[in-house]
Amino acid sequence: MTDSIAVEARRVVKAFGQGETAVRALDDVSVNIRTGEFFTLLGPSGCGKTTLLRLIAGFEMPSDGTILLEGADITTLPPNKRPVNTVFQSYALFPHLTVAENVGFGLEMLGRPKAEVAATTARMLALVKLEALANRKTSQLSGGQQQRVALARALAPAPKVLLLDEPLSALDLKLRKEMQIELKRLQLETGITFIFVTHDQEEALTMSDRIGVMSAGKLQQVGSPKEIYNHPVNRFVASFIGESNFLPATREGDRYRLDCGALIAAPTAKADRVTLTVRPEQVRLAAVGEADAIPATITNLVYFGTDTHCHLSLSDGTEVVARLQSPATGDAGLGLGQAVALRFVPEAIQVLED
Amino acid sequence: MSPAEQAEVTRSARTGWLLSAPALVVLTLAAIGPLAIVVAYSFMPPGEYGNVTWGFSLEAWQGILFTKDIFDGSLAWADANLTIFWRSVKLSVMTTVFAFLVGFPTAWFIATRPPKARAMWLFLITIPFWTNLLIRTFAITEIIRKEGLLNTVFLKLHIISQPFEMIYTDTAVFIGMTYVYLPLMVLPLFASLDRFDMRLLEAAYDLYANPWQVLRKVIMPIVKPGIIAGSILVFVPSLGAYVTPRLLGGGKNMMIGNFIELQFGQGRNWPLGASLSVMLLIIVTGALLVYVRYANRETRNGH
Repeated sequence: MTDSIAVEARRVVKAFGQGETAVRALDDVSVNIRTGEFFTLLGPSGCGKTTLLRLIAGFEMPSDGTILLEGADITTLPPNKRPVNTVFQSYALFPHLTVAENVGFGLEMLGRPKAEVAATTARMLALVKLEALANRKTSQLSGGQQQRVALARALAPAPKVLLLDEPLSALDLKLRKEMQIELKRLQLETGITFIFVTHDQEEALTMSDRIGVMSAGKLQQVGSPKEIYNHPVNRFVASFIGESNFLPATREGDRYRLDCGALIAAPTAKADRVTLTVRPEQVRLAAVGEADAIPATITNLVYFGTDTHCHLSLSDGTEVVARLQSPATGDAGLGLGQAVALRFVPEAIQVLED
Repeated sequence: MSPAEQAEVTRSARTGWLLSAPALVVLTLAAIGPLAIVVAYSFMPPGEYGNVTWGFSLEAWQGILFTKDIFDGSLAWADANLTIFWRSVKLSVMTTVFAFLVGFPTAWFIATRPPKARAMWLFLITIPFWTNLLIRTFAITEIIRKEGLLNTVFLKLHIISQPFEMIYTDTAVFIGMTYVYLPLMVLPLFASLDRFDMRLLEAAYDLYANPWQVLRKVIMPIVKPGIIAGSILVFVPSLGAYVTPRLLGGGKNMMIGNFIELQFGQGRNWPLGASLSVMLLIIVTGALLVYVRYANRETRNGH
């Protein structure tokens, strides 16, 4: 992987509607997507991730800002002039063509010689393991097979960037897991830059080189899955990706005092009033009365097999969830209403200024 | 099978025939019967004042292509008949093609409106059916005749210096038939386009198709059933059209329909009218067979 930039969005704005009622689907979004990386746009529905993808594909024009492909301005280029292909959420396979004709469509439109179209089609069908179905009509295929045809069709013209608009959302869980691995394999084999849109945080974490988290038309954070998970920049990112405990706190010197009275050491921020966030798996139970441990009461226990979610209430009423690994005996010796103490793994505490 | 069961089967079969008897009677009386009479008449000699006389004769069939000299009985090509056949086919093909060229954008426009507006546009398309064909044709006469609306407006606007003479020409018949049969093209096209998945357009654009290729390679093949249905619905009645060529083509520019009518009326040659009718049926059936086979072959090849 090189550090060159495949796609760059510069201060892109996309507004739908006019005047007062205009909705900003994208609000001043800037992002660099590197050549050869698996980049995921992650966010809840309506956050603008699909709009950004459609702008890169050329189906819509931005209201403001610039989109560059390998340094060249493509903002006003129509979709058929962009070396970018899309895998649609609905697959959008051509019902009047066979599997092979679907895959060869892009190359045929580019006016490539028949022999080259046939050879590339065969290679693509082998890549997605559909050689046996080359002459079927697409309506005779299962959802997973249609998905593969859509992938092969989009990859056949060897685009500079492949855009994937929630391509796995229509598949059942097992097939989705298979396709996740398959997609990652295809990306590594072809070396093509993938821009993947999803609302599924697990999908994003397992597949991506980098993730861009979006909310309300804005890019909230861009980073590797580990950065996003371990160092969320704001409350939205922390709560959207994985589960998090949020503890309001006030700065006292180089430490923070929680509302329940406990003092916690954490990297200091500029603001005096902050929110500390800790992942449930970074909360430990301690013996009552242990130094620096925060007293709490167990309000609920939820058993998940590999671990147990222990819901705790601090003295001021703040809720904290601890994820405890289930002991070998299957019984952690905890009961509802039991008074316990907890401590946070110090380096896992994040400070959010909001 | 026991005798009782066998009797039961026989009875139910008989009941089945009895139940479908009304339909069979209607079919026989309304479709097969008249057709049989027409075919039979075409093989009989004509009566003196119309009708037919009993007997067998191939003269009516001969009369489609040849005329017999009254004096020496020699045969010559019936140029007038051939001209009428040729004009009918030519005008019908032109009408079908032009109705498609106008009807397709119209149907596309309606299919891409929001659902509520679609109903309104479809309603507007069907409004001409509420008025009698004769009156609609007279309305066209009023527009294109020498002292008609178009000429008056164009003269007043100084677009033309001399009134153009369009009425009683093939062009007038062509315009009239296109107007009359256009809804029959639009409706089946709309039905096809309404089911068309517009997301395929984006997919095609994304795969480097230009707008023309999107139309040729994606839209047209998928809505082909609508195109075939619309073309048949326009071509078949065009070929047999009577009122429109009669009023807009005048007495001279006849089509097959008028020619057939002539044989049963002033011509007093019912057998010739009958053979011409059967001939028309053969031309229509043949054209449809060729067209449908051609269309299907294209679909199979996927081009």
